[in-house]
Amino acid sequence: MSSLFSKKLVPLVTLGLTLSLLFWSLVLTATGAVKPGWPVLDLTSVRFIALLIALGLLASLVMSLLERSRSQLCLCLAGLFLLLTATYAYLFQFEGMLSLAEGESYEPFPSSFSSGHKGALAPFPQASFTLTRVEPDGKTGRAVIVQKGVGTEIDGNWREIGSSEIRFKGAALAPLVVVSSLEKGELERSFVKVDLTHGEQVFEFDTLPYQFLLRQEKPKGEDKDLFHLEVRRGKLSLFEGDARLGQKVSVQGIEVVIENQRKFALLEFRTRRGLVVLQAAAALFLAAALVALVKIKGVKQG
Amino acid sequence: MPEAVLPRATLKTYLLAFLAPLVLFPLVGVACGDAAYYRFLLAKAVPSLDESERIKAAVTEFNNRFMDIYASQGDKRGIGAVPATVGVRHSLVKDSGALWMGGRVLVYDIASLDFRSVQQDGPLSATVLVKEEWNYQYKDGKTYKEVGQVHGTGSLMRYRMVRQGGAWLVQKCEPVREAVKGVKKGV
Repeated sequence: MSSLFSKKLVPLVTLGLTLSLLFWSLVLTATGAVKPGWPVLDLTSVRFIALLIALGLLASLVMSLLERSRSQLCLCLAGLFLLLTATYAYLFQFEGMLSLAEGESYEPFPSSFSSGHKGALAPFPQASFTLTRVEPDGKTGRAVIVQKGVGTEIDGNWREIGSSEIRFKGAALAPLVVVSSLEKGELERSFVKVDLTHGEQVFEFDTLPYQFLLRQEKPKGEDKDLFHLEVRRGKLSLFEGDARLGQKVSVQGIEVVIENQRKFALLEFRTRRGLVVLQAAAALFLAAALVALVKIKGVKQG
Repeated sequence: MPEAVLPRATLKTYLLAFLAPLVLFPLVGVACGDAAYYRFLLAKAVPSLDESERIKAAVTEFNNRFMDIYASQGDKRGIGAVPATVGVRHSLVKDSGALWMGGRVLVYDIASLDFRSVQQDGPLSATVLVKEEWNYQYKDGKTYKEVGQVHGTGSLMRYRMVRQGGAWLVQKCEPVREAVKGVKKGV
């Protein structure tokens, strides 16, 4: 009896660990503690339990070989295959958002992306293209990119680009902000990729100790491109007032000017390496689990 | 040999094999350094366990340290104690280095910090809205004598907080207009 108990204990604890992993992953995701999907595997505790499950599966595999239990062997092999494929897919997955202005080229660097989630072994999408056109503004628009002289339209649907996929998420006008000082000349000249249609936006430059608050004002008469600008430093507001496109605003020894505006597109990249194999492994595991269940029922009835 | 013929005690042990991992999972999480996640879950069920007070204390400490850096004419020795991310500390150093505007030093003094809301967005992030009132005055850089009057300034500030190494740190601090939706008084 004790031998039978010890033989069944390892598979049962492994099953218990698996169910507990599923339960807690669900709870963590449902309460918003972790974002849905791969981020749950960023938790050390989840990885540790997954490692224990892998060890449990290996031990059960050895026992099934000794016992010559084919259904348990199949189930353990399918479980290990599922774990391996999930680990591979997690390590190589990539999701990221990036903003490109018209005429700007994509570079596979971390600084290109504003947010996202990257597996430890996943490279940044290795693609080379230039954004040539964005039309029209808003979420329902599209972007045109040029890759090796060939133009491609990117809309809201996922489109393959190299080993990754890309889609259009939105567009807006990026103001070209130029900051200069009388003594040192031009200090900063950048297209600031903020969406002014969503109201006032706050931005700053790494090189300057100022914060800028900018919003687009409703057109007054002939002033179509009218902005409301506030320049702050520390806890103080140094300037607040209206500024037209091209108008220089003097603020404590510096000059700020919104020189131009250019359309930019918000694009989403993703790489889902090994996902098909992972789905196949999950299907295989389900089939093996069903076969094992049918066999246990057969034994009980027999 | 099916499970049906096993004695009751063994069945209980089998049940334990399922229940033990379920109960032990959060404990493993705490041991693995994921305590913030399970504390966040617990605070959902027991609101008194939320971290609002710790987050408020970090914002207050940040502003006290901010004031010290300016009052000490940009002395950076205490910068390591500022509860802020490396990026924010760097910008503080950068700003304090440029304090000597025409031989004058800017000195700040907190008049009031009125916490309007503290929202924990996740186990490792929070957003705090604070109505701040500050007094400031320019002083001579060499003699440290007062130059001009004491002025007052006030603004609503949004602090993006991040939890790193068990402590809440300021990740971003930006001004907000009073009319922003969701800004409530007395929270």
